[in-house]
Amino acid sequence: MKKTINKITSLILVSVIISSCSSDQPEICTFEYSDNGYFVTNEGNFGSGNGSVSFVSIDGVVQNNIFECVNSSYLGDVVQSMTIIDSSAYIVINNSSKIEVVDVETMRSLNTINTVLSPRYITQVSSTKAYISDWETNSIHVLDLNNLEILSTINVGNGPEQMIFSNGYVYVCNVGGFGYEKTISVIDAENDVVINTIEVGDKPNSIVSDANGNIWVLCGGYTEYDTDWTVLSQTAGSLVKITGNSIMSTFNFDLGNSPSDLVINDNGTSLFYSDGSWIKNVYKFNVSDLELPTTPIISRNFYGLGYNDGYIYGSDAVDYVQNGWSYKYTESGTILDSVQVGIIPGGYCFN
Amino acid sequence: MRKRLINIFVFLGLPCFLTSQSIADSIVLNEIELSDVKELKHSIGVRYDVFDKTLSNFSYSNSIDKILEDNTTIYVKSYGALNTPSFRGTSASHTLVSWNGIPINSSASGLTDLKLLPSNGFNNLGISYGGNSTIFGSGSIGGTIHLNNIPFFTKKTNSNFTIERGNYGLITNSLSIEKSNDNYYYYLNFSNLRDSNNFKYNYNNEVRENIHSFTEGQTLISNFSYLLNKKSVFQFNYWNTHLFREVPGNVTVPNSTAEQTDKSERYLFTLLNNFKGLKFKINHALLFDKLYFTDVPKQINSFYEGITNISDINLDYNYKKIFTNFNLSSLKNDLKNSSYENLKHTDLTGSIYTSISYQSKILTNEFSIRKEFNESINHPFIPSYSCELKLKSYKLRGRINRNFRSPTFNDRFWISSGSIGNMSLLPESGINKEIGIDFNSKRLRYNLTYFTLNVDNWILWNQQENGIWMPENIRQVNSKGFESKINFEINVHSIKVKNEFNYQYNLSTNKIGIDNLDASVGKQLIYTPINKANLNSNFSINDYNFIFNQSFIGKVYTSSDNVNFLNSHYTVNFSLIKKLSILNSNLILTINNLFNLDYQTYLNYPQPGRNFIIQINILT
Repeated sequence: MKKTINKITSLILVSVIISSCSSDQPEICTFEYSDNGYFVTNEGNFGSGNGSVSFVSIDGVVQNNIFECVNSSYLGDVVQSMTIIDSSAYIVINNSSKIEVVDVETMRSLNTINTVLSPRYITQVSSTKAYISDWETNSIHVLDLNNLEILSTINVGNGPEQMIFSNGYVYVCNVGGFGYEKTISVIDAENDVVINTIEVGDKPNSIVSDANGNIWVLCGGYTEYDTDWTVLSQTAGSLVKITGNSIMSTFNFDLGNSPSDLVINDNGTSLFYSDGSWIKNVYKFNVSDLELPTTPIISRNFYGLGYNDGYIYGSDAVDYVQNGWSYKYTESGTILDSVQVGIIPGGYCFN
Repeated sequence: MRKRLINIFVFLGLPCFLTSQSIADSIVLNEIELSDVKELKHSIGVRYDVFDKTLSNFSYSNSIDKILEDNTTIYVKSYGALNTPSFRGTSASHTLVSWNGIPINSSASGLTDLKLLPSNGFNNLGISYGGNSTIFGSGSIGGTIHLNNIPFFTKKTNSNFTIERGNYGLITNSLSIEKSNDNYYYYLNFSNLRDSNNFKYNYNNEVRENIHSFTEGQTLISNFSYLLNKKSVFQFNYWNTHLFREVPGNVTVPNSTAEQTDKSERYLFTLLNNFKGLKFKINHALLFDKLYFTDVPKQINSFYEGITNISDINLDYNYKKIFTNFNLSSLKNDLKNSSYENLKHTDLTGSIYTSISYQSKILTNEFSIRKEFNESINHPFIPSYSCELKLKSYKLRGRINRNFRSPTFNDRFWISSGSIGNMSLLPESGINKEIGIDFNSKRLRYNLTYFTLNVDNWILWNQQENGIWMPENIRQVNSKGFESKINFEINVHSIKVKNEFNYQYNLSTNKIGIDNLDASVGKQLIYTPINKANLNSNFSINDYNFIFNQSFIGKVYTSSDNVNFLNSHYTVNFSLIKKLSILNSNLILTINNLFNLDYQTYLNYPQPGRNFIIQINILT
């Protein structure tokens, strides 16, 4: 009888031991930085914590999951944006409520900013200060770049999104978060106070400054439906040019379109953006143009858009639960290369 | 004979797998069949498992997700405040949960959160594998979970008081009373739970605590049945659940502030009449379902409140070997949802199904058909054919049927910035085919099943090119696989070892890509393991029972291109049951995750390591 028990127990134990040994080994990897490459931020699936950063060298060699590889930990939930300030990259992870500060060339984590609840973007405003936009508090946090502490908080409009620093002022797109808003907050970056709020088109989502010091804001427009999905009210998207504190001109898009992802070339002379209602294309607009272009330069829908060094970059998230792609085009819209990156590639970061 | 192992047995005019041990603990129907269990009547040709009422079922923490995880090949993924099953490679909304024959899946999401389903308040728990939409309607595609209270009229009084204490602040108490005489039966179960659930886990080589995971709630389940005369019975069932949960984020979201409260109240009135070969049943169910989700710092305050009315008329007629069944029902959903454009929506569905079967000692054939009628959704005819052939200890069985799932209220009416419902969605539908063999002897029972099922027009929320998320009939999924279940007993002197082994091999793949870049075509669906197995061994020696529960879950993919995945894992749970001499009580010590393994069933949601639960129950 004892023998039988022993047999049975040892059987159980043997199977236990066999199975315990079969766990997979963690992958070992290194990150190799090279000049003139670029980073792609991959949002990952909301709630799954599988956001990541990819690096693509100038030769088109891609390295995925570079943060995770180097630091042996997940980056976080919904990687919103990445900005390089000096030799550090600030990776903004929205749903994880943190900003990872890493060394650009090694990806090694230097620090983590945990004091902003729903961070979206970070922009440098002086050698010692950067601004962080935050949907949770509808404000801009002033970050001390020396000790990574929040110095003060500036209240702005709903859902502060992208920012641009120009001539001592920071222009903040108040996109409305999950709701509605139509303003740009202008902040005096010396004293960290809002000096003006400019009403632009509905839902301003992206902002750049051109070679002449003008600010360009892309507004998505807003559509309200009733119970039968018929449109109750609708405003057109618009491209707004601001000089100083005043709107100089407004270009309206077709009603029902939702333009997004405004980027600018290195000379500050040409704007690029995605526009369309259901299917979007990429258009080019010279800052001196008097009307919006009607012919796209790239007939393709991108999830995110970037520009660097004479090339346009666009990303495709496929079905949003698999690795996406990043495409590289010439400024005239000729495709050059495509690389597979991470899950939901949403943003670009160039050094 | 107490045992933890589950046994499959099929009763009511079907070949019996009832072993002598099972009878003592299981439910014996009154000889005049004053119960009408749909899944029993219509389980011809398919795999249908009934779980024994065992000692561990008396604990409130032993909810359905735990039973499925430990004792079946159904995959349960748990994340945040949601525990959902995957049957035969399908998704959570393809599993129907039926309470005494009434579907209780949320009309908003189409899902049922398994954590809201206690196992201790029901005296009959069953699982139908494969779809059976002909009988159960929308959502029964991968399988159906049945929670039943079956009355009996045997002049018995039982009561049971169970207290449970575990690591991480687990406290549950449960009291149930069951009393019957010649003409009435009542059952009442009240349970409550408090659980901090602040277990520790390893992350980045540091020990972290699972914070913001507190749970508190209670459930009241009752059944009152009254024999109007020898041929007819009136039944009233009631189920009330109130559960508050802090909703934890994944490991990368350390400061979740979300909270969820689920409240449900369910009433069911049944009148059943028997006249010789004719059985007439009429019932009405009234279901109130509420869910409140709040996240104060994020200014999220969302809710839904649903009222469902289901009326059902059922007629069974039996002449010699011919059995017929005819059913008419209406289902009305009223739903208020903070995320719907119109806040409030009403939907009325009428359905009709009928079946005819020929049942001899050797051969059984059943044909059934369903048709549903809804103002805005066009439903197809849902036919089903099943047969069984009995040869001594063997039974060969098979079924081919069509199944469907209607688009949910969320799929149709949702609106928020960035996402929008789709009013023109088609129902998902597909064909289920399966064949199986069952063998039954005194010491050994097994069943083997091969199945294929497909789901066309699979609804998926997809981001449109303008950035808005909208559900569409995108995917076409094929699932096929093999299931086996083996029960065997080894007796050595006074030691009895009962074993149950379950194994499932399942390939579930997507057939259609959304564009030519889509690498998910031909790949395994996410969160559906190809291999899952478990072995339960129950050693009984005098007043002691030792139970080993071993589970193996193969690799599960977390991205549709199958690039990312969670590693396979193997866990062992152990229980010791000691019958105490004082009162009629038992002491149960359970060690979950004996080897303290770090594992996840959903990406970045760690599961508890080794934990201890002590349970005492007093039976009278």
